[in-house]
Amino acid sequence: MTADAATQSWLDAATEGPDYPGRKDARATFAKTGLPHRRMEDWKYTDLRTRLHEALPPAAPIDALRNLGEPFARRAQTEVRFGNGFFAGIKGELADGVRITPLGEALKEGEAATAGLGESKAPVGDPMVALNTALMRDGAVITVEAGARPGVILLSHEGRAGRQMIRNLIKLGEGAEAIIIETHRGGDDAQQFQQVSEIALGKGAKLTHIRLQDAGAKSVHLATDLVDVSESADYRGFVLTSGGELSRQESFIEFTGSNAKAHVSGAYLLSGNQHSDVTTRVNHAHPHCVSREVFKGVIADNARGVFQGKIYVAEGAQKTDGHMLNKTLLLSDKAEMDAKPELEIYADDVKCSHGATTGQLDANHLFYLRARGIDEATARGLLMQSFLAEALEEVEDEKIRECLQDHVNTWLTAHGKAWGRAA
Amino acid sequence: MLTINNLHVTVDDKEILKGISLNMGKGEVHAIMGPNGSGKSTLSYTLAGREGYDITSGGILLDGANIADLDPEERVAKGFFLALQYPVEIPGVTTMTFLRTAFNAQKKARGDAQVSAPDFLRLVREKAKALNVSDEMLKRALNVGFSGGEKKRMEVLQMSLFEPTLAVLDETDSGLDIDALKVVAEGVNKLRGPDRSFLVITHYQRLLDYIVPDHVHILADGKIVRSGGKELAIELEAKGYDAVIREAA
Repeated sequence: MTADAATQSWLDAATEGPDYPGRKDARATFAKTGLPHRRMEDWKYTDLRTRLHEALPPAAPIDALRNLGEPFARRAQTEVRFGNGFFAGIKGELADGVRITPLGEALKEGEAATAGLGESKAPVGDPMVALNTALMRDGAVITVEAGARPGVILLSHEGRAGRQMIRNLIKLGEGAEAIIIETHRGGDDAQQFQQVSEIALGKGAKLTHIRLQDAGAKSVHLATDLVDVSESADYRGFVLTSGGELSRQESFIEFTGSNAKAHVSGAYLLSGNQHSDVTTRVNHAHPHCVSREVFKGVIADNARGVFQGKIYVAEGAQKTDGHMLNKTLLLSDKAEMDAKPELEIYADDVKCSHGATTGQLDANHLFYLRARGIDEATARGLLMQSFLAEALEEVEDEKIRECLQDHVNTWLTAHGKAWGRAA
Repeated sequence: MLTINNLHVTVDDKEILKGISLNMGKGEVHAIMGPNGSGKSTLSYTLAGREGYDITSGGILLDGANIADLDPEERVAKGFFLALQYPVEIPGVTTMTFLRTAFNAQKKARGDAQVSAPDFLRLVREKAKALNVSDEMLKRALNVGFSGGEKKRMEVLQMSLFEPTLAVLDETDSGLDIDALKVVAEGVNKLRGPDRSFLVITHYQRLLDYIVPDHVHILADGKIVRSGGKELAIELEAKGYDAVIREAA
């Protein structure tokens, strides 16, 4: 079988970089499916085969990182910095009970396999995971010992140019509790960023996992979170997307024990010709687990959003409690949202629901604010802030939520003048 | 103060107001009473400048200046206030944030200095106390989970903060029990003064027992069919709309 040109370009890229066990197999797996395309159900709305004509040259490490003045850094005990997809140093204190190793080193030392590389149980037949395994160069290997509470760890990424392939391995021991924030920012040169994070929570562990995707205007940003949530553990994922010309956030959650919880939420702010895809799958394989998804977004100009969410409840996963919500505001006639929420249930004693709406700002609300002396642009901003609040409230930590809110407000102000009129 | 001149208004190409004229002096309280569908809400929305309420002829003068072409927020800056029949709920925006945004927007539009957060908080608390609006309500999202009475008290609180020269009360009595009505009316009465006029729009005479008007106008099918003193409201209550409107015709 001969691969299409785009896939071939990525296969050719897959021969570079240091060797490690599993790379060849991954390349072969990826070769079988090739780059995902619109005839694959999960990629119906986001066709990488047509959008990623060719793999960009690999990015080079950056010697001296700019001080980005990352607002989230103030909230973090430890900051792990990445430049162009390569580890660039650790700032701040490393708390007791936590170990952080750059993946590049771990691969060379053969430590990555012991750190759990490729062990994720999350349901994936996703060619992007195979591609990542074939091409990964660096990332963070974070191990939090049982019972440890290292506070907030920030992974700050700055991208400048080229192809950046990141793999993170995050493991929390029994009863451990941590907050991991990822920020992705960068310049306006063409970039391809692809990341897979394998996350495993031990019994009763709690991870708050925040991602801010504010990549440059010509960036492709593809991120996959594979999360194993064991008995009584609690995963709180939140993704705020405002960057990149093409992005996809995949969250695959697997409950590996009972009485566990997972919240996967986020907000997307899209303008220009941006295309952003959120794809989630929560696999209730055990009874008495709770899952929540709240995704809300605002789409302006010609931008397009995609939400594909699936809650899967296996036979025997009784007392499952799963809810999924997706709401979008369209600010222009040309903005587009494709929402595909799904429930697939094989147990008979469950509480599951989903809802998806797409609409415009409420004319009653807008009039009310203007009748109180608030000008139209500010009123629209307030109403959008109000609309997004339901998603942001999913972030428990107040200071982190404020940082995210600031980012949202800056976006809303910047796009204020371009806002169309209410229906 | 307010002059409405042979005002014709269409909504969705249908004429609702068919030539309304009204003169209100400074410090006066006028009531407009009318049955359902007579054009009461259309009048209040038109005065406020809501989109979709098209003035086909006639004018609205506030202190001698035509305001018919102004945006809602520009009318507010000129001292106009509309208390709505159904105040909206805005989740995710706290009442305090909303109040301060609106207050400072009005200050800015008038070229006045902005008020700092602590000063504003003090001002709001003082006004809120008189209306029985708790700190807890101020911290909650605007109108979310408020009872009918709480929502109307919030409208009156805004009126007392923004200090308009002309306040229009659109069916402020709807959905209120007698106790809530008294609190709201008392709040309004405190704001009465030589420099502030009120236009009270209502279906029932009940509200006018508490907010006693100087003049009463009866609105029917988009026109004022009769005007009189406060006794007109009592006559209306006794005879009913049908009879009074028929007599006027």
